[in-house]
Amino acid sequence: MSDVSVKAEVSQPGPEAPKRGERRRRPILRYVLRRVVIVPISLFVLGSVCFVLVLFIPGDPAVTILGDFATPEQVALVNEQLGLDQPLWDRYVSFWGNLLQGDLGTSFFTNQPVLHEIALFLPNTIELVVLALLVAVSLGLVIGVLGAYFARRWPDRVMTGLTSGLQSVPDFFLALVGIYVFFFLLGWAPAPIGRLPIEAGGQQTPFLIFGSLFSGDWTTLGQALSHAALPVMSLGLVYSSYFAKTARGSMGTALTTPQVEFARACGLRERTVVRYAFLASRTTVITYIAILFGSLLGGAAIVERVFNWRGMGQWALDGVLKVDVPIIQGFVVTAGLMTLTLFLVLDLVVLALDPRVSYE
Amino acid sequence: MLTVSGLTTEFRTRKGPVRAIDDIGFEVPTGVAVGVVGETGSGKSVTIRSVLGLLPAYGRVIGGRAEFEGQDLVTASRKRLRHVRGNRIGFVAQNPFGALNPVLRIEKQFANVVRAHRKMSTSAVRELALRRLESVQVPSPERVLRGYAHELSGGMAQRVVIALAMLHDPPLVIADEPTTALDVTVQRQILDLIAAQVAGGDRSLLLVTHDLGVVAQYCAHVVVMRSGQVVEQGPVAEVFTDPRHAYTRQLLAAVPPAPWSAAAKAETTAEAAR
Repeated sequence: MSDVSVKAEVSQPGPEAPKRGERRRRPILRYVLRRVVIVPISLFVLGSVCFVLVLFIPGDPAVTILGDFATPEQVALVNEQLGLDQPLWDRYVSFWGNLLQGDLGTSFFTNQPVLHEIALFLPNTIELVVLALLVAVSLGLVIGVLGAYFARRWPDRVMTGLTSGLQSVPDFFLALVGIYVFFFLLGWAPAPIGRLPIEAGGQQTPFLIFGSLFSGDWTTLGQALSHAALPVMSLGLVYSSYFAKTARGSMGTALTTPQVEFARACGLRERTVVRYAFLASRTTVITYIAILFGSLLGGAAIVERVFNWRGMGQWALDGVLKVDVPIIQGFVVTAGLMTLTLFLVLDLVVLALDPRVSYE
Repeated sequence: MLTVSGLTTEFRTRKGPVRAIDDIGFEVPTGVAVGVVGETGSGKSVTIRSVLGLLPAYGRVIGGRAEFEGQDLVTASRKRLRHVRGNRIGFVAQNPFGALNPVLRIEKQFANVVRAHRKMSTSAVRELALRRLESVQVPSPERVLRGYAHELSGGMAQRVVIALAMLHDPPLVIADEPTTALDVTVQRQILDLIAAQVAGGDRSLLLVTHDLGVVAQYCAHVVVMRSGQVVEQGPVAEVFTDPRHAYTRQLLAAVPPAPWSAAAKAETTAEAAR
């Protein structure tokens, strides 16, 4: 009897060791699954809300298409063609039925599948937003970290002033000033006519900049970059103020922690100390990248318009003005899906970076 | 070893400069443990931060000297100061969980402190870290090195901090309320440990605390501070038996008597009689 109990006690650490590893892994999986499951649920809510909100947009698509002098018979005919005469519930069901098959519908005006148009415009916007965010993040971090490091001294005051200045300028206004100065006065920048000079022709491959960068097409890359410089800078400068503010706050907090003090008291190099403080405050910055990416997908609309960038925002704005219902819905669903995916990925990245998180 | 004289530090605030410490002077002789006592806000922490150059960006030493190993730390260059910190002066922080980096393995933190002052191979760093962890009585130091700070108990984490402070065999150790953040049950162990690390040889200790009992037990000299000034200092035996300053007397009177002491017994009998 006593033999058995001793054996049981001795053998306990054995099976417990692998069990602990298992227990640690399973919550991670469960956490990831839980986060992944939220994505389609959020998308369903988003799509439904979007479907309802579109109904409240003033204006009748048929009237917009036919013009103000259309007869009621013509309007009824167009409504029938567009399927707008169906009961609301049937339209809702067929909206989801099509969406689940990857069909976002057909534009009322261009008669092109919405998915086809998104494939045309989305890469442009992604390039613009990614480059603008690169500028915004790097510039914002420099401003914010400098301000935090020299807290309450003159560099901090200069950086805070710069931040408030940038934050109060609308991006499209900065764009217009940029065009005036760099195109009209100095002639350094090309005219705001799109992504490439006119002589390059109308054919534009998706992911013009990234594509030519990877294929080594330097002439196209140079032209594309010079056309991208002004829109990227106007968005990047304005949005750098958001990163500067976040970085100033989180870095300022991180630099006054006992952890930084102890590192200094141990004689660690200032460079190392600042690097660790930065690593400790990266979560807020990463989260902010996700938020701004989502808002810039549509939020760059006016800047895209100013430079005739042919991006998602410009496209969606036109769709709204023309009450082109499938385009509006397609934009909201696409932007929502991209934002939710990015949030998911960055959440997981943030969690993976921190050994303290227990995934409970 | 460390001679502080006329040390005055100001903080810049919106309402103008505020003097946090004013004309502080004391000495930490070689091989002696000196305790700095005073209530919260009396300037104890600001004093050691002024000595080590660890003031926040809006604080500035506006006068005085802190002489250590033949040089003034107040006017020392950043490079000289960095050489002194961690290498010639070990620092034991108040809260080990605040001091240790939460996202770095303990071994990496040892490597950082070692490499801040000398070149050393990874295996040599590990060996040195293991030796130091053993000398502060950390059980299974290999496992501690592989792990993170949050996996340790408060007492163990503070032992790791002490091991980091002792890494380069500094002749002076500054401990900033090293037990305030710890459970009462381990406070004594940690203080004994610090005393043991310092005892024997020429190592000096500057112990900042608000606990007079701790000073009486572990220190030979005491510096009493109040609102940014030194009100009294001298050998512990003299200051505690014959306090000159009214504030020191108040502080001493504020210490609750130990339950087994004669004074406490007299008090309870008096209460019982009533």
